[in-house]
Amino acid sequence: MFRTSTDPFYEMRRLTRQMDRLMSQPAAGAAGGGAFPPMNVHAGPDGIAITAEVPGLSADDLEISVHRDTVTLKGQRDAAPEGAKAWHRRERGTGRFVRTLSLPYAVDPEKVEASLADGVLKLSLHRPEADKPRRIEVKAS
Amino acid sequence: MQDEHQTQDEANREEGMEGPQEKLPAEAEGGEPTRSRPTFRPRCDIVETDEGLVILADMPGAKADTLDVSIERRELTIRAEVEDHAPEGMDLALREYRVGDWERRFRIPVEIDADRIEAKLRDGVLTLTLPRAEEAQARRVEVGAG
Repeated sequence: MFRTSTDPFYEMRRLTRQMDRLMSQPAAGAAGGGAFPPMNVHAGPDGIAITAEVPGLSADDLEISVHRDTVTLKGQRDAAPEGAKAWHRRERGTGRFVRTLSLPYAVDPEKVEASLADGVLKLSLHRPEADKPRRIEVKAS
Repeated sequence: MQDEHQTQDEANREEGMEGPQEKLPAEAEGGEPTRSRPTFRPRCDIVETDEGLVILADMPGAKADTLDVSIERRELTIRAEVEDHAPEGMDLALREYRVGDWERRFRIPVEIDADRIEAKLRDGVLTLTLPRAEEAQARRVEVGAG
């Protein structure tokens, strides 16, 4: 599923990895390394749905922007709890993060739906009508 | 404060499509799993304060009604069930995380006042406040007048 050049999302995955490497986030990825927040991308006939695990973030902490075929998530995770005298474990990441995702096609910026609940972000992106592949009926003569 | 188990060597995690931030599996012990979903170990911060210990655990997707916090002797267990939130009727094009339940155990080195443990779950982060047991309180013995 992953290597075929006919997979329109192949390029997206490649660019996402490159982008993450470029930004080489010091922040929120923390103990596990890698990029924060981790995202899953789902593709359907009418568009793309993105889910991301963003524990600790409220809607105010998160900035989402969509421009043509690019989605950017920006935000900040808070630092330590107050009154900390000593640390026994520090696995959660803190600080600023930015992640950029290049989609295989431009999405309609007017029709982005976002919801955030229990630390899970859901983004619904729609393919513009004019851009959808059209099925051509062949008329029997 | 010790984890019940050694931390898995995180450097071993796969550098592949499965995602850069692979979750760690929870320890599979203590009874048969009753659900088919995988269980993961939440990332935690544990700090010591004047009053006791505070544990912050990243448990995205967890809801308060499935959260279970229990302490038995000095073993603390946190657990929460997570419903799959993948949209239906769509194909997965990129997977950086898997959805599963959360579970982690800790061995607490100090005496905790179990009656005063506070748990708060907000935006997928569990905050557990574990007040140290006051010695005076622990030693107090009621003597009836008699």
